[in-house]
Amino acid sequence: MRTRLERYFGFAAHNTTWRIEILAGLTTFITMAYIIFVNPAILSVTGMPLAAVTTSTCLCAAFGSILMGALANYPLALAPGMGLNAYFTYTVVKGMNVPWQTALGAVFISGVLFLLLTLGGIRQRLLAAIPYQLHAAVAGGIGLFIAFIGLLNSGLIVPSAATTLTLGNLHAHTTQLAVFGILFIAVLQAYRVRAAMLIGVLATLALAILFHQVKYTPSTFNPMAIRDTAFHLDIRGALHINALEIIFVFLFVDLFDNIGTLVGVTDRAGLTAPDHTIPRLDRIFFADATSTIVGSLAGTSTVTSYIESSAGVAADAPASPQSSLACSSCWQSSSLRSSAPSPTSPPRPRSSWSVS
Amino acid sequence: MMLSGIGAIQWDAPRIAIPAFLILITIPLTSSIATGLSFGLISYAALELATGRARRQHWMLYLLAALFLLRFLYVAHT
Repeated sequence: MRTRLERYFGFAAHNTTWRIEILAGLTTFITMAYIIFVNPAILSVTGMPLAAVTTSTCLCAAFGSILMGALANYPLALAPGMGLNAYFTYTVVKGMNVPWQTALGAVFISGVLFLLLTLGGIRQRLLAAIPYQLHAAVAGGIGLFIAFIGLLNSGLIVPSAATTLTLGNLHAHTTQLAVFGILFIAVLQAYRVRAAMLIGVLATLALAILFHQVKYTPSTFNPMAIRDTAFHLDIRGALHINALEIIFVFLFVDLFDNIGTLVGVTDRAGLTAPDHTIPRLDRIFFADATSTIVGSLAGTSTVTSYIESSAGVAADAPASPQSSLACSSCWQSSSLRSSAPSPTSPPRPRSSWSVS
Repeated sequence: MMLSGIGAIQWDAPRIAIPAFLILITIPLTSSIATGLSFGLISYAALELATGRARRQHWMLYLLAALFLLRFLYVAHT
């Protein structure tokens, strides 16, 4: 079984081992686990039941990531995309007064359009049109983006009326913890410790618990709650309303976020072929499109590739069981949440800073 | 790490360096990879056209750049 899996995922060709893959998978999972809390928090503003969205978020992330790993053999983790969920909630539902069921219908249609574009080979051509010299710039831009999100989340950078952004409060325990995390990871990396990011995040978390910065609020969820959103989508309604623009935005952002993430992560992971093309591209796109369709059926906004996948890649894993792993953990957490107390509002020491 | 690749960008060739820089800076500042990519491709296509290299690139690049431009012009601010 083990050697069969090793052969399937091409361990020898990618010069990798179970240890590396599992570490990288865990690193990606930890960097993107925030979505389990953040996505339901945003989407529930539309009136979608929180428990149902939590369950569908976990299930779709698990489904998408496992499909990506098993089918395409790429270290790309999928989950409901940030940005698109905000667009779904604040622009479509709140701004245009579209019922969430209809908005899900629009997501479904955009997913079907992706699939058609993929099967027709259009997406593959779009990607080929992007000059390879710009691929590294996209990877770098994503690195800066993650660093920026990390700095904001940790409070090291805060909004300011005068200069838009400014340095945060270094006397707060959460920012001090973040600084510790960054420095600690940097030192580990200087010593070339493979699991630097994972150890750094866990150490920061341990310290945060020690200093009572993490609050545990037990909350019980029944995974069956998904019945409140699953198959509630209204496709006919999405076709009736003036939905062309909504569908276009979902399609556009998912399409090019995905292409950007793909180009960036594969460029860094050394997975691009010598002629600058990406092997098994149609499978990657197929996994992404299918996940969006499944997401709309289960009850969440567009599912897309996560830039956090780069954390796992930076943690040094080129092959892809890690992507499956990243989200079988997500799957587990979905079933765990049904009974176990779940941590909410930790200071989120994101390992991603060091990714850039 | 994610930035280590940018050393390989031809920073002394403005027709590549300028689009690359635009991508780098606009992805984090607009919080959107798609938007950053748009700026990069539009400027890249414009520079290729302006420097008379248009024929070296695939027509798909220009189609994409035109689509991105139309999106900026016609889709309401979201």
